[in-house]
Amino acid sequence: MTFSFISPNKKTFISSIMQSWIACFIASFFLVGMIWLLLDWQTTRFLKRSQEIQTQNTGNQSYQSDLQQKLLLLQSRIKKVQEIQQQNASLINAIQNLFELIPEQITINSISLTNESLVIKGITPSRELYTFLLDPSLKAIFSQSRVDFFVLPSGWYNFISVNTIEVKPSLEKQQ
Amino acid sequence: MKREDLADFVIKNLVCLCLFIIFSFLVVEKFLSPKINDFQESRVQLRHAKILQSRGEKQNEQTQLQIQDTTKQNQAILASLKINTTANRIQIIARDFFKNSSVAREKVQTHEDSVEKFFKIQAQSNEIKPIFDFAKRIESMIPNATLILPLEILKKDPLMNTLDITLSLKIVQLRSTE
Repeated sequence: MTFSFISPNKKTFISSIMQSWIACFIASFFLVGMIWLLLDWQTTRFLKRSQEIQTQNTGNQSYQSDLQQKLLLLQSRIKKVQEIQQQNASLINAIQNLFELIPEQITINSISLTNESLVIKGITPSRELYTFLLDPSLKAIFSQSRVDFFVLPSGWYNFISVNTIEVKPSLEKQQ
Repeated sequence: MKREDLADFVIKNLVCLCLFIIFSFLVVEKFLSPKINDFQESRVQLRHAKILQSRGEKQNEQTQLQIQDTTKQNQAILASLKINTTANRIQIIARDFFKNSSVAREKVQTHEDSVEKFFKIQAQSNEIKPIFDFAKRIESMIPNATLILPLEILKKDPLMNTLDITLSLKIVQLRSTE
């Protein structure tokens, strides 16, 4: 027995429109979740790779520091030898200049050159010759220049010239 | 569709739409956005690390190249520092220029990484030119050696041309080769 002329509509607990919206929410949530997971995976991967590279960089830095030290050592050694060569060249030059200073008329019997002084012993035909030809050059180089003459039976003079230079403490230290 | 149903449909849709917008906003703002920021930061961090890595590698390569070049250019100088020069070797050189030469090691000064050896050379010659020739030979054969002061040249007998020469020589070498 029926009480109505129309057949009843099926009534669901959640209407079809609501079902669609719920599906939409779930799909969205799922999509967002997937994106989140993807981002998380990539972020973790990037961070891991960054850490690996940073570890490599630390190694590189330490290697760079070693190389720099090696280079500095190498440069210091080269500089040391160059200084030696320069010192050698300067000394040879100074000795050559010293011999060039001595005029032909004056005979030298001994030369003693140290860091602070130059002692020349020799024979000169006259005091004036020494005074005019050798003394000015020595006085120009050394801070103190003193000469003693001794007359020889031949009328020539034996002379001892003592020339000193003030060595600054810093220079003394270097030597 | 009945009017009531249509109203119900519109209202439900509007409510759901609003909820969806709020949901989307909250999800993006609270959930997705921080993750995107983290991702971007990690990407920037990786890029920086890669830049630093390539810069470091390049720098290392350049320094290595510089060391190689410097070593190559100064091979003789650096090799000389490692050779242990003895008094005999100096005497052999001195014999070519002087008569009655003798070489004695006077003292040794030790520094942090190097050793300075001081030699005294006593010799005879008829002129002063051999001194300069000897110095030049020393310079070419032992680059790490230098003549130093004191220097003495003495003519003992005024009638003879023989000069007694006393030279001092300093040699620097690496401590490990001592």
